Amino acid sequence: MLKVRNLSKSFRGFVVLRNINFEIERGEVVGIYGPNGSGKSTLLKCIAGLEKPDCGKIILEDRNITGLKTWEVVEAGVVYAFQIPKPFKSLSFLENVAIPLMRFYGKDEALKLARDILSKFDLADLADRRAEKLSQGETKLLEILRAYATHPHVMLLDEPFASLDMENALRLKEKLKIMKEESQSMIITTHRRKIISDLAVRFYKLEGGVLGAEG
Amino acid sequence: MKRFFEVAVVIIIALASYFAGSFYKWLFSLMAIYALITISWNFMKTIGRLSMGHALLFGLPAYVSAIAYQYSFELSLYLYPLTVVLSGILFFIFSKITGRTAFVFLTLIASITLWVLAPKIVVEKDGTLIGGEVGFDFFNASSDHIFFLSLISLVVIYVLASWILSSRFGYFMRAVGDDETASKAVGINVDRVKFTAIVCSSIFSGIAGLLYALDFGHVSYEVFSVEISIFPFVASLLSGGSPFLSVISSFFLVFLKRSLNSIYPGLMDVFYALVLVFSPKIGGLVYVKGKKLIEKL
Repeated sequence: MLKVRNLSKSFRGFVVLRNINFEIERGEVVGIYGPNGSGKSTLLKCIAGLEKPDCGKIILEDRNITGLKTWEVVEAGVVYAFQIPKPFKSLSFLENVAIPLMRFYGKDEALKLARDILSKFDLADLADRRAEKLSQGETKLLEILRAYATHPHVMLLDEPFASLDMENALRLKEKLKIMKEESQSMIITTHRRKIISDLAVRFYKLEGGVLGAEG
Repeated sequence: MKRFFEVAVVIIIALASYFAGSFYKWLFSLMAIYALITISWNFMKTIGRLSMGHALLFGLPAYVSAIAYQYSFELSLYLYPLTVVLSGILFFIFSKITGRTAFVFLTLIASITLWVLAPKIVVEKDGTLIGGEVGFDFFNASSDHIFFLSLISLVVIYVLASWILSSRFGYFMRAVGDDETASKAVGINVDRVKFTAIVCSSIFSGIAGLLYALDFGHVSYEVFSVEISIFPFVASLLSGGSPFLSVISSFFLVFLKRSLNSIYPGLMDVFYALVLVFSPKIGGLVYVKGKKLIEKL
């Protein structure tokens, strides 16, 4: 479904990604792991349109989405969740989740659908809490639910477990399992492979900008 | 219901001014015009852009129309909406090429530039040079017309702005105001939202500028004064960010300006300076303590 072909990216002459090739099929969860600074976030940002690759192609269901603006990539069905969550602080948890839905539905309908999503993930009690008053773990959940809300073709989750304690990491993992059961395709980056070992069907190791396949 | 109550309060103030005599009737028109600038400023603030050059959006369409009016009424009618949109596009370009902090200064510099340049603009009419520091004569409306036009404009624009802000587009505006990158990541076309919001803000200010020109029947370089740019910031600061209270605080500030300047000319400028110097303190007091008080109530 999503294919990355010969993708390279450098910043001021420093090569961050070198000739990256990989793909993900519908309903798959793929893990990309590697040490800090190995280029994991840059790879996902290139796919999401937040960074422009120097060369290479990103193909989503036979459509070349390379170089599209971020919102166009999202419209195509690829949504990125930030490593450091970026909630809309003036809005509530519910409104944050409803925002992406508002691209397709009216305000009231979007809010209703967002409420349904929160109920499905047992987060209804957070609905009216303003994003600026959420804990770190709750903010992470918000970031991921916001990406999930429109059921995109592929979710790009950048280090979703980073800086979470065990309790919150497990709580988040539970939610990701529910999404996996719904055949939601995801690319998850992490520097701790173990934590997503039972989520991902395939792993790639990214080191020094080079991606190697592994199981 | 809440909106109905807010509009009712504005209409009551207007009627009280109307029956209090011609001075208060005129003062209300001025209050409404300044309140429109504040609404326009708040609207732009929602997308995270603080303008310190709203005098440009306020004054430029009226100024250009006044120059055109020297030649023909029709020309002034065509140029007014064109300048409103062009002023909005200029601010949109500013928002594209600058970050949030630089936008504040760039808009301020742009409006000050006009304030400096406008007195140097002279045009020839019937063999004589007009304009310069004196400015240009404009169509003069009667005080009753201005009163009702100002009141209707204020009510319509306030309701319209409130409706937009609570709509789906308003949510996008708030999202863009909170975080532009995150907005892009959820699929919002940030440029489209910013452009629409800034042009709307320009229209609101442009209407205020036109009413101001009609009220005085004259437009001079004073429409670009720094005071007009600072005014909505101060009004918004004193209101704690509430749209309705910012309208009321605009009323209060215009009233205060008349009172202070009648005691000693320029005293209001001292007030503005003090508010700006102590704005972090006032902001903290109004926002934090004000919010707590409202929560308690």
